[in-house]
Amino acid sequence: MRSRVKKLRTERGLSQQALATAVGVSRQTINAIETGRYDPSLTLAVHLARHFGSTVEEVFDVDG
Amino acid sequence: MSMDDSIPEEDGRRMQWPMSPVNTVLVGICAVGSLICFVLGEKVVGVALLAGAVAGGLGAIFARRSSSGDLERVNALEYADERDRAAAAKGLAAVGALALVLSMAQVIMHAVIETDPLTRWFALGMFLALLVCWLIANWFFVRRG
Repeated sequence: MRSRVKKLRTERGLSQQALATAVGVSRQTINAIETGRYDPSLTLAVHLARHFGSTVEEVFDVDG
Repeated sequence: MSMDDSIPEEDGRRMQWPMSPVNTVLVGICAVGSLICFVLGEKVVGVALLAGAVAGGLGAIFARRSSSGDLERVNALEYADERDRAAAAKGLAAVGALALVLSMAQVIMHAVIETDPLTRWFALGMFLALLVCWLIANWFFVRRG
């Protein structure tokens, strides 16, 4: 599953660690999501989307 | 999909207890077992269990550092988030599948090669225990999620 997490994070000037702390996961998990090695749970996807002020569909592309 | 048991990154609870409940139990069992062995005069087993308790405890404490890696945390049973738990679940599932296969091979080996009845029944009992555990786990996770 492709995501726009890296784009949204860098646009806001956040480090992976800062985003990880904000949504309650490890830095490695943010890195794995950004590189497409891990598909987050629905809970984490919603938390990430809320953090960026957007919807899950806008952050994650299930068809990608 | 709960993230409740994540290791808190910045709040004050982080240093309250240096390891997970699972590691606390495992280290406690090793430490108590070591003490019992020393009391009973089984020094070699006592030293081995004490070494296990110290190694397990230190491993858990080091895995909780903010600089620790994901593999380090999963190996030490100190899961930080859902990805650590998912990786650990897949790893343990692989171990369970291999245990079933090896246990079945052991039962077949005991049936082919003449061994004493106690060993044969023990191997069969272990295989059946693993099989029942697998069926109960399947029932639980299919019905209760």
